[in-house]
Amino acid sequence: MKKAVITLILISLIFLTSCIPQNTEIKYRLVIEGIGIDYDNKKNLYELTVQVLEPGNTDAEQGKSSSPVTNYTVKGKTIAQAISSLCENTGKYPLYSQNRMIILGSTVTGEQMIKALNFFVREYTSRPDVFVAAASGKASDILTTDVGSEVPAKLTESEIELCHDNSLSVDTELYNTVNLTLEESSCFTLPLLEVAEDRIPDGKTVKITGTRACSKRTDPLKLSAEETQAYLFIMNDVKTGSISIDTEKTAVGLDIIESKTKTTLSIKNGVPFFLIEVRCKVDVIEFGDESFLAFNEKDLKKTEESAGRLIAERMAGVLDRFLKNEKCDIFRFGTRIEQKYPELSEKMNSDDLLSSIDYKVRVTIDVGRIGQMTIKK
Amino acid sequence: MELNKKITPFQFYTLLFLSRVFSMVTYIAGIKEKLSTTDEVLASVFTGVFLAVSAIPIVLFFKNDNESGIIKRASCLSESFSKILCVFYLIEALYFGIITAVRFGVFTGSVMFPDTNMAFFIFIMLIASSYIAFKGIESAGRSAVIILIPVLFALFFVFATQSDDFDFLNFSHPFTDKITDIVSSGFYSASRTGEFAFILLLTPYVKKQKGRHIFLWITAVMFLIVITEIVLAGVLGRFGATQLFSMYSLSVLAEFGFIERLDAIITCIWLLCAALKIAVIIFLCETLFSSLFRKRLKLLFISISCIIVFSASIPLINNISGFLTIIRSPVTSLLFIIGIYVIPSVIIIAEKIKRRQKR
Repeated sequence: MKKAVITLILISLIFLTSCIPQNTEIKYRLVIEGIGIDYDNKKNLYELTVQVLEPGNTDAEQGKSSSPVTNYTVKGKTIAQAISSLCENTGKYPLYSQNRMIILGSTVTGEQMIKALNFFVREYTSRPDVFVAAASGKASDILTTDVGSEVPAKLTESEIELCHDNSLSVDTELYNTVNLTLEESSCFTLPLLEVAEDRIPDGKTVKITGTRACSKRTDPLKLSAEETQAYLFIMNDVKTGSISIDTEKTAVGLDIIESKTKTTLSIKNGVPFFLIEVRCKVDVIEFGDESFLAFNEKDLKKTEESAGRLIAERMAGVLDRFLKNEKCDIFRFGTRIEQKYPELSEKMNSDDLLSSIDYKVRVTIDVGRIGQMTIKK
Repeated sequence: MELNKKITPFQFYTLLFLSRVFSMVTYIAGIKEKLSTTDEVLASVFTGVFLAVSAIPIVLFFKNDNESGIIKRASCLSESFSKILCVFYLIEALYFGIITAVRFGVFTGSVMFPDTNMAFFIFIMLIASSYIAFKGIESAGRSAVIILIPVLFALFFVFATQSDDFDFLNFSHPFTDKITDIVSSGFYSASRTGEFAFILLLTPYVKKQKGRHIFLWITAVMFLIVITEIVLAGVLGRFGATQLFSMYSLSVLAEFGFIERLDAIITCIWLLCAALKIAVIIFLCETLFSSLFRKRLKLLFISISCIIVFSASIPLINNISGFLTIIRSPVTSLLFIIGIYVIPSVIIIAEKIKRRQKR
C-alpha cells in the first residue's frame, strides 16, 4: 500500500508541475505590470494600455538601457473583450498577479469607472491590493512615458508609496475603492498622476500632482497637494511629511514625526457635529533667520501656534469645499452618521445631510526636536 | 465496531478543530443572507450560541456512558433502529464529504489553479485522505496535532498583519438587517458543523472523553469564527461580500515587511485541513459500512466511499449554481437537527424508558 501511494504521488508530481505541455510557460505569459484605462465616448469603447514585462529586453551586458516593458493598446466594448483581443494578437495568456496599478484616464468617470473595475474584482489572478490611480489626461500617456531602463508602472507605484509616506498623496488599493463605492454616501479618492517635464532636457516623468475625488454621482474633483495633506490629516492618514510656515520673524521648516487625528461625532442643535482633533509631533528642521542664535523659546511657541493654525485653516478649507460646495463626502462622514445615528441618515437625503454638518477643527502641534542648533531663553 | 487504537481527546478535538477551520476558510460570503458587516459579526456570535446549545444533547448523551458510540447504544435498544441510524449517518457523512470535496475543488479552482481541471486534484486528495483513513484514526489524530501548529501560525499571521488596514468605519450600525436574518445566518453557519456527528460516532475511538472537552472545542471554534468575522469586517468591509472566498482575499493582503505574497503558502496550509477532514469522513463511512454489514472490509468500504464522494462532487465543481443550490437548501440544517438534536434525544429517552421498564 505504502509503495503504491508513493508511486502515485511521484506520478502525480509529473502532472502537477510544469513537466506537462498544457501548463503555460512564462514565455507564453503576458506578465502585466500596469493597465491604463481610457474611454472613447464617441464609439463607446474602452481603450486599454497594457504594460507587459519583457525580461528579454534588458541588455545589461552591452550596457544599453532599453525598456524592459512593451505597451500594447487594445480596444473593446468591455475590459474582457479588449484583453482577449490582446491575447489573440500576441498569442499569450495574461497574468494579472504581478499587476501593480490600474490607471483611470480622465475620460473614465462616474459609473464607467465602477464598470471598468468590475473585471479586476472578478478576475481570478487579479489581486485586491493593486493600486488604483487617476490620470489628469490620458492613462496611456502615463504608462507610455519613457523612463529608460525602469519599469514605468513600478516607478509610479514606488512614487505613490513614497508620496503617501510623506503625506503628499493618497494610496488607494482596489479593495478600498470597491468598499467606498458600495457605501451610499461616500466618494473615493485616487492619487492624481500627470506627465511632467523632467530635470534632464527633453525628459518626461510621471508626477503626483494631488488627488482626484470620484463618485458615481458627481464629476471628478481635484485636490491640490496642500489640500491632499489637509485631507490626510482629517482621515488620520498622515505618517510623516513636511510643512513650511511663516512666522513674524521668518519662514520655518517643520518635519512631521507623527500625527494622530480623533474624530468625534455628536448631535448639536439637531445637526451632526464633528469635532476633529489633531495632535501632531514635529521637528524644526529650518529657521531661516539671519542670525544663527536667534531661535528662542518664544519662537518655538509661536511656531507651534502658527503651524497649528495653518493646518487647521487648510483642513477647514477642504471640509468647507467638499461638504458645503461640492457635496462630495470624501471623509466618510455619511458613514459615521449612519453608524452612530442611523435614524438621521434615513430621515435626510445625503446632500442635505452633508450641507447640514457642523464641525470644529482643533490642531495641537508639539515640537519634539530642534536639530543640532541650540535654543535661547 | 472493532476497535484498533484510541486517540487522546486533545488529538480528537484538534482533528475536529482543523476540520472546522477548513469550513471557515472556504466560507462563501453571503451564501444564506447578505448581511451588513457588523451583522455578520453578530451572526457569528449567534453561531457560537447555537454551537454551545448543540453540545448540550451530546454532553447529556455521554453523561452515563462515554465509551460507546451512538450506533452501539442504538443497537442495545433495537437492531433495526441501529441499522437505520447507520444509513442516516452514512448519508450525512457522505453529504459532508461531497460538500467538502466540492468546496476544496471550487476553492483551489477559483483562487489557486484557475486554468486547471480540478477532477485530478480531487482524485489525488481523495487518495491521500483514503490512505490516512486506511491507517486508522490514530494516524489522522497525530497528523492533526502536527498540522495544528502551521495552521494556527498561518491564521495568526493573516490576522496580525492586518492591524494597519483595520478600520472601524467599515462596521455598519448593528442590527441594520432583520434579527431573523442574523439568527438564521448564525444557525446556518452552526449547522455546517458536521463535526458534532463525528463526536457521536467516533467516541469509542477516544480515550476518556468528557463534556468539558466538547465545550473547550466549541469555545476555540467560536473564538476563531468571531475573530475572523471581526477582521474580515474591519479590513475588507463591504468588499468582503463581493468575494467568493473572502478569507482568501484577506490572506492576499497579509504582508509583513519584506515578507509578502504568502497567500499561496497560507492557503496550502489551510488545504491540509481539507485532507484531514475528508480522511475523517472516509474513516467514518468505513466504520458505518462495517456496522451496517457486520463485516470489516476496510479497503472495499473506503473505496466505495471514495467513489461516491468523487463521482458526486465532479459534476458540482464546474457548476457553481448547482453547488450553491445544494448548500442553500435546507438539507444541511435538516441533517444537523436530526443528527444532533433528535436522534441523541430519542435514544436518551428510550434508554430511560427501558431502564424504568426493567425496574
